[in-house]
Amino acid sequence: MLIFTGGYKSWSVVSAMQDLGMIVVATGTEKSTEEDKARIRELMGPDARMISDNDQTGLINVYHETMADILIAGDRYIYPTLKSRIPFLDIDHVRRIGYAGYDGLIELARNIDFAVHSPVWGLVRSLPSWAETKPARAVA
Amino acid sequence: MAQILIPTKALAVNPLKASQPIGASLAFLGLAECMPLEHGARGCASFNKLFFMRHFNEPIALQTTAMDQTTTVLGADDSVVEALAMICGKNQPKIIGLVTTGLSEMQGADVPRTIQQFRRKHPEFASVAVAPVNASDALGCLETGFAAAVESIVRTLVPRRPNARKKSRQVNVLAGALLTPGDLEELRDWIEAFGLMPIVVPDIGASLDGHLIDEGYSTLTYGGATRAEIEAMGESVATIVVGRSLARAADALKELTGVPDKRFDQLIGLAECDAFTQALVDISGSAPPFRLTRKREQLTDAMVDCQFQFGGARIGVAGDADIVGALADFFVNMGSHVVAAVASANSARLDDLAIDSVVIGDLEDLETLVVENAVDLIVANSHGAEISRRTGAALLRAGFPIYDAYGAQADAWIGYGGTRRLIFTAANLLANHFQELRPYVSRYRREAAE
Repeated sequence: MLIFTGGYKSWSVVSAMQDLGMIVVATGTEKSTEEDKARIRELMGPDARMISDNDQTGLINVYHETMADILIAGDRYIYPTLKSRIPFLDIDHVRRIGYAGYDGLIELARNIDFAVHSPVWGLVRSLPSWAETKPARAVA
Repeated sequence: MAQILIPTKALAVNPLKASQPIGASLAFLGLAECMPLEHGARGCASFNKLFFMRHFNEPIALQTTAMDQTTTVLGADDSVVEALAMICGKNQPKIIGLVTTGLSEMQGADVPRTIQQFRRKHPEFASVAVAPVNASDALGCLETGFAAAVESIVRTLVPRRPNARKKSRQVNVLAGALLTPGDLEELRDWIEAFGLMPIVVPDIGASLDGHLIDEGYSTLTYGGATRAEIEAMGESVATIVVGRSLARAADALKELTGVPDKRFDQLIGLAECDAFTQALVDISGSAPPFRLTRKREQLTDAMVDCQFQFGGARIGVAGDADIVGALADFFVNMGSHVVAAVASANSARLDDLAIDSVVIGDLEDLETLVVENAVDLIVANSHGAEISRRTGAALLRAGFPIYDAYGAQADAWIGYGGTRRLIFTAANLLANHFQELRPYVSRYRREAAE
């Protein structure tokens, strides 16, 4: 998974995902301190890929490049991601769903599962049979 | 493959199904200048009429042979002849739908013979078509009664002309009971967008859509498929069938006219809409117009925007088989779990569903499943409102009857635009039903100990 958050969440979410057995391919470090970055390296290894630039197009390119299954970021990033037909999980601090604690982590796992495995992605990436142009950009 | 479960209880506790005569009469209400005549007790027709009126907010053309104790025992054939003659004389319909009910079926009414008797006795009404339908209350449901009436309409009115000259732009549509008047309007626009001229049979979209006419009140239907259109179905270049329940009617039409058909179980959902659009491309030889491809893009956008609400949502669906099938498919394709499905009567349509099981039963069976499986959203007719209130699940009204909400007849959920509206409606219901996790309170906190 590709995580793009900032500050303390740039490592706390990484840690939560790793606890769930996920592979984090890169994480955002916007507004992260050196201490935050040190923690990221501790969790993801010395060569951890960190993205400090909040450029949306760049982020989507990284998603394709790393062959990630989902982008996890704040809600500002929802619609560019959905327009690109990419599964998304909102991890913004003003979100309505609680992900803290044991129950929260289970809820997080459930929501990742639903987001990644929604049949909607296969459908919206499909081309109608009468269209002969090149397929919409697929990620899987 | 869904497992079909048939409970062994001795009665329907909270009935779900509407009877076959209601369905058969509904089909006739989709024909122009038509009068359905239910052969049964007065009360049967009067309740059916009441449900139609409440559902559609319209006056309803519906007559009864008013069987009583005497005619039920001694024979009611004369009352049928009399009723047919009276309707012909008084209302001058072009078509009468003669629908049996539980009582006349139990009595063993010989309807074809009675129609012959009427023809001999009243040659002056020879121009009025009479389409007979056997519609026992004890079997099937609204959808199967509707389908039987469509088959009778085809067999009675479509001449056997397998080699008729075809009109390259004319297409037949056999429209199943799962389609609302709003759906039929959407369907007509969809077909006409390809420069094709549809003959929709029956067309409750043209009669029960709710429109005021200059003449005011009419004793017959307010529109619908005309007799001339139905008689010309053999000149169409193709037939489109919507609803698995119409399989026999479609077979009959194909046999009489030789027109090739394309059959669809339903038209809700992206893949289903694409398959239908492809059929129109094939029939018309034209590419889809820009308006339609734009609607497709709007639908895919709504799908990605709203999938958060559908993912993992627990859904219960109750209704006739074609409707249960259409909506179960829809929710499964949006990522939801259909954990409670109840159909009013069995059908091969249910076997194919990608859900665990379907109960052939009543709304009590639905309620039990809703509670057991912690359902978030119920899809049912207005009788589901009480279950929604008792269980706390949200309610999406679908099917028949819907008597506690305005505009049920205008709901259109088929096509790219209709599917998009359904997505928004269901997503809003699910969003409002969202249950937040309870905040964790430590047992050591003082308030918790109290």
